[in-house]
Amino acid sequence: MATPPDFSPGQVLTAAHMDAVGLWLVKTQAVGSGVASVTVTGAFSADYDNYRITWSGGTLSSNQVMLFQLSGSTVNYYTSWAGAFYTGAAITTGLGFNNTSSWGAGGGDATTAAVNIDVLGPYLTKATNMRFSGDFVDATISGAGRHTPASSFTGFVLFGAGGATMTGGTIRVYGYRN
Amino acid sequence: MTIDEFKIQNPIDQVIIQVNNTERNMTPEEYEEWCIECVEYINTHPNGPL
Repeated sequence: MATPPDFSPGQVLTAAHMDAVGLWLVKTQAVGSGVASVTVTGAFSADYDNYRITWSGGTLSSNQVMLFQLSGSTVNYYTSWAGAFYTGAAITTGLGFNNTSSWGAGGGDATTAAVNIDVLGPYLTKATNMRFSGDFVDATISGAGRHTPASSFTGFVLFGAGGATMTGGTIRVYGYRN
Repeated sequence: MTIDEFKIQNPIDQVIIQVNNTERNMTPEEYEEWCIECVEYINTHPNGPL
């Protein structure tokens, strides 16, 4: 058997081949114009423990952070970021969020915006963890965090910080094969 | 910025949210929660995201 992803033309894909696929597309969601938030339901289930969520091809109304909430929970988000300006100067303030109402998930402005976040264990009745990165007009950041309640979630909300609205692009949810 | 100032800039009938493929206005409860969150973020990040 060839080792994925190297296949031969016309080769029959067996269960063993498919079981070796690591990332599966769970859901896609087109984003409207000038929306303050997008709620995606039915994203998390018992099929996967861990997820990658992306938003690309869209814009934000202003240079801002993209934020992430597990649907139905507005407290107990702990996260910190690290980052630097494109000039090379370190970002030293505003990087800690102690028991807030959301996580960072990405960033952008009126030119381009993106979300790239790994959410670990949202459907499990345990604390949920995350890793993310984001880029802005003048800098990039990355971070990690946790949502401490031992609760299960099936959906999430993406929104721009400070009231920035989202336009266009596609949200994609992928599940990491267990 | 105060919540009232933010509400003047972002009146409830002009704020659209999306749930899956459906777009709608916020409920009054959703709007209050969103305004509080936005103003808190703006006041703790006065120079933008960083």
